Amino acid sequence: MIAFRPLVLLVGTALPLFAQSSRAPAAVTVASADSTRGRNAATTERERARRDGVPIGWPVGRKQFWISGALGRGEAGLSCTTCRDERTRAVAGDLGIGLTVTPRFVVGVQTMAWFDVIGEGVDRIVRGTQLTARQFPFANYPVFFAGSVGVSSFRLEDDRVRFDQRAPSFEFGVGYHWRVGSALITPAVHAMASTGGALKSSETGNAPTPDARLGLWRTTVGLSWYGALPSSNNR
Amino acid sequence: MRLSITLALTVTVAALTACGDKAGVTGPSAEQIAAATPARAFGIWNPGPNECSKAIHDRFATVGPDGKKYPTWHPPTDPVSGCSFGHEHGRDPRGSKMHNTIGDLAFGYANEMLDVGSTGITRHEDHVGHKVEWENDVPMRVDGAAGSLFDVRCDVLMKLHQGTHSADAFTNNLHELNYHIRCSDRTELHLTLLTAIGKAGHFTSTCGGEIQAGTATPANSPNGGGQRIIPEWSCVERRVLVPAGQQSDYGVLHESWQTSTGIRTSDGKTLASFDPYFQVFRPSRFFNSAIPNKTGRPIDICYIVTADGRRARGGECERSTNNWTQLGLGFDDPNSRFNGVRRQVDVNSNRIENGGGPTAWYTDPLGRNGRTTPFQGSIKQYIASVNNNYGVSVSGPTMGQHRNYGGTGTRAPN
Repeated sequence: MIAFRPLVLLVGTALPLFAQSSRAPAAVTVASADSTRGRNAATTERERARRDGVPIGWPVGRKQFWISGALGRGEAGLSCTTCRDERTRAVAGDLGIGLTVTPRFVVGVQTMAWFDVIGEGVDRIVRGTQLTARQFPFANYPVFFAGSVGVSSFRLEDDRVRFDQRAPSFEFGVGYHWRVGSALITPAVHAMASTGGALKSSETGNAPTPDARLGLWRTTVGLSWYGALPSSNNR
Repeated sequence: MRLSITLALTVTVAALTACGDKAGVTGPSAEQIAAATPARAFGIWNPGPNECSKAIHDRFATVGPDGKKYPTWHPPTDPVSGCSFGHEHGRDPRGSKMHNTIGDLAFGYANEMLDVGSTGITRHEDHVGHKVEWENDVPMRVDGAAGSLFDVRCDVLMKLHQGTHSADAFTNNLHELNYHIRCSDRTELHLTLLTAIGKAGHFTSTCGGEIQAGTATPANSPNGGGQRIIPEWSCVERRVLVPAGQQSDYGVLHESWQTSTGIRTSDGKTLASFDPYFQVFRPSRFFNSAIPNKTGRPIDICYIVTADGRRARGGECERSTNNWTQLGLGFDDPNSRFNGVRRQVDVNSNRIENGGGPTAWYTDPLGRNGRTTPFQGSIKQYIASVNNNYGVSVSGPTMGQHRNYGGTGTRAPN
């Protein structure tokens, strides 16, 4: 039940770096540090990155897809006229997939989930599916900012009744690509909010509130991969 | 004399309606009240010795939806002269957030409308039995997992005619109820009706078991849901008259009127239902079929000593009689603690099935035959246009349990 969503922020972040390490290991600074040839390769990579204005490790010019997955903790709460003003921390995760548009701009789809097992058959679940875009604003640092738009849902259920809310949502995030060995590890923080929606009982279809708004903070660490598309024109 | 009464009426009515004005509910003017035709419920109270005059009492009046003059809430002592009315009507409704919406309560309006309509039932109640209770921002209990998510709060105001000093409720199950609730989940009801509590002619003993107290009065009273739990002699005698070394259990002198009321359309659909319990501690009566009027007095038990030495010990009897130094207290003596001034209301559940429907409904005084247009003898009711059945219980807590509404000179009948 843990949330797995298409293309999480982490994914977008990690893909470029991973792609570099797997397809062009000589270009990665860390991987080449102990050899003269590696130093030369790293220098070449830095120069190319500086010249093209893209993060170090980015597979410049390559049309690529990216995939990512992340796990972490999230704090969720509902805001409405009849909702308790309480926020709950629980496990959160996401999945993402997408394409690079430019070396410093990627798009994709992400799905995320937040899952709180209260006990005795009581669960709280947040899900969301969103279109996402990530921008790498700095040439020398693999930091990205992400924005997503989609639909999210909140569910509270026990063994008798379930309450559901579904509404448009948007999300903002920031993350960083960190290369460890051959892996791209991406810590990220995301803030999601939904517009108001009715929180309906599954038993009766009646809603104690017509205007429940969902809020969710997520802090995750993920792994990312990316690779060349079959038709891509490698340079 | 007439001038002084008119002036006093003007001042009192202005004070009573001040709260209503600020929320857009404009209370009637003193002139309107003075000019209104008295309803049957107006002017029926008469003072005892050393109590406020009838004229002072009847200043506390309002005009009902039918344009007639009705008695309304007043404090146990007159705020101007300081005299005692000898009875009380519970909590001052002007402190309720609901007062801004509903204005002053017209005591006896549903009874009056029963005379106008075609139910064929006549039912009028005394003045002192009208008891108001309210609470603002009441947190409701939400069962199950939903309780961790929802914080439903309500403003609640109720007035039930709950006479606990006479034989009336032994057989009579029809009692006027003003029921007002407004909650954060959009549940909202503003209702006035005669609610049928349990079976007419019957009640339930505090110690259990149904008692047939007599014939239904009125004879054509409909049976209702819930029950009226009232103490009766055999139960009281066992619990209160105890041997030396024991304390009397005065908890048996407790009434619980457990309502179960529905507002229904003319085709029988239930638009709203609710089931508050109205409880009175230490009433001034119990049922005793062995005496002519069937109305026993708890204060009399304080002086009984059985052949085997059992008697009332401690508690209210001790305090009422000042440790039995005062003999022969009457049931209506202000020193008697059996006066019904301590009460509580259990809010319980409220159900509305009126999603998308009109909020204005007209029912007969029994809450039946609901239509969207008025008819002869109908009462206008407000029912929010929602369905509030969520598949989990949402119920209200108890209110008023720590309050004592007695004032100087308050006594039975109250």
